[in-house]
Amino acid sequence: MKSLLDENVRISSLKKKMLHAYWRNSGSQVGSIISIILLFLIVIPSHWLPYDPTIVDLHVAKEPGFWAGNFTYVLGTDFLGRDLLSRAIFGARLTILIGFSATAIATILGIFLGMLAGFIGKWIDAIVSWLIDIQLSFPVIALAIAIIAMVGGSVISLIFVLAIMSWAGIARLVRGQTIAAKNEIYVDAALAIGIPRIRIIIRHILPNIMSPLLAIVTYEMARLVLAESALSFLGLGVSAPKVTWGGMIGDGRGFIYDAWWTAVVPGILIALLVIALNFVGDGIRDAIDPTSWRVSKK
Amino acid sequence: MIRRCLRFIMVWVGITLITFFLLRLTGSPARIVLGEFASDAAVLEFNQKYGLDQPLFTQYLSYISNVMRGDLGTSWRFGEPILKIIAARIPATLEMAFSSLAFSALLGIPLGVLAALKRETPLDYLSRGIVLIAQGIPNFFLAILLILLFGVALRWLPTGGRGEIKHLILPTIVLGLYLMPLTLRTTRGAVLDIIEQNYIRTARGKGVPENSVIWRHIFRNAIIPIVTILGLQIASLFNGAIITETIFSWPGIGRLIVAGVTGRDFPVVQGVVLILATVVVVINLAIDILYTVIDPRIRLE
Repeated sequence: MKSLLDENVRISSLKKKMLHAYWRNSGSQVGSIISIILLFLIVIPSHWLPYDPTIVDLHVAKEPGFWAGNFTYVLGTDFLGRDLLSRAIFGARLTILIGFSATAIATILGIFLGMLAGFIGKWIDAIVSWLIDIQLSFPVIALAIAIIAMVGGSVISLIFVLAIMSWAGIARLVRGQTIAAKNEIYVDAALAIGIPRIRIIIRHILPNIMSPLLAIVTYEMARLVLAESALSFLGLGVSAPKVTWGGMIGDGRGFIYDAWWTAVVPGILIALLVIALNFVGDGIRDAIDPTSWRVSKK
Repeated sequence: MIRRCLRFIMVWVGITLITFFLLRLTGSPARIVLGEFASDAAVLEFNQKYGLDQPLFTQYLSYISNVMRGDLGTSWRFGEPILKIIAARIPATLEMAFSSLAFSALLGIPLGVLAALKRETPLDYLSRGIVLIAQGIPNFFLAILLILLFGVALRWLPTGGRGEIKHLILPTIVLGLYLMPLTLRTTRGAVLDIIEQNYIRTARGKGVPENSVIWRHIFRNAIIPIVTILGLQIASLFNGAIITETIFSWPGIGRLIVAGVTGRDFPVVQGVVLILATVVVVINLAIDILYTVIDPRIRLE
């Protein structure tokens, strides 16, 4: 009984150590703060925005922002005279909502299939591994473009397509980790005293794979934000009046000669969000395994 | 080896299944080609002509047997065989692919080796910073910035098209920087793994000059994972190429798929996806086999 207690103490102090290592890392501090600020953009209510993000006023089209001494439109206006600051905040909602939902769906799917394959094995493993192999063979942007072209671009189809892009990597990680955890003695012990498999999975295996999972999920969200912006840039994203940052770059692309800020403002925002998320992922990774920074699929 | 080939065939069959169903996702191809207001008789005739009235399984069998014979169907827009259209665009894509892979390797491998050898020094942090930034900036946004700077402001380089070497420079930088982070990280990781091996300590202990330790002992052993990653990048390479080709009006396969989407030429889209995925699995199989030949330590089962 005493040794079991010791084990518990050891694990909880390990968790504390990891948390501590995460917070001591200046990269993860900066990353967390920027991510949180950007994530908070989505709760800013519409009537707080300086201007209506969808209202067109050609009299003020392509006005430069504060760098030209313009403090009426701090970040300037786009080719239709829409205020870029308002649009940037407005666009944050769908950018983050789509990225987040897609990552969440991919994670749930990845955990479910990965655990099923890893824990039960046999033919279920064969099928799941087959599906993972197939998925990872597709250049995901090509597949995503094809699917969206066929079914049409909408918030739902984007989330669906992005989730497809990302479940396989997560499932592969979970499968591998589950197989490793399954061979631990405590799982044998739990099985031997007749604890149901589902309970073993939830109580014993899931907590053990949580940290690497958290790291990969953060990276995946960064990757999906990039992918969504690429699709929107290509004109395969949500349609007006809805907008995401990627779509804003696409809008601004034709005007880089005379109104560069229309593409640069959303571009910087995407880069900030992605870099911040990667910092968070790196921080988690470093806290788990201080020897390496990440090697992952792009 | 047999298991690998079997797995390869299984995966490829899965790929064809998915590309087959892609076209069916549109609902009715006949309506797209003939238009919303085509008569039912015309739709029926179209479906008969292309075998779309057959059961799905029969349709799939004829699809896969056509694919095996190199027949990817006909473009709705140009009326030409799709394989021919794709083949005409391969050289442009290869050109950009090779120059960006080279760019990424020439930048990523030396930096990765240095970052590992000088671990936890400013140089290591610098390369980590470069990786994070290169990874965070959307490649189409980087492309726009470079066009703005070198094409519009300085007028040094063309902003699109293919032809002379100078057309290749900006696309190479954009796609190369897209690929570089993975190369750098892998190189750094591989070198770090090897530095800690006993035979490196032995080599140093018996007085092998440091240069020789680095190049003959460390780098030669690190090259296998590095080359593997370069090979596995092929899927990312295609992803990046689609965007890069579109922005720089580069007449390759990547732009073909985007043009296929805007022109609603879905068989072309389907064909390109199939070809790209096939290239990815073939290259992965080749690397797997090569791997076991080069390094007998790695043999599955």
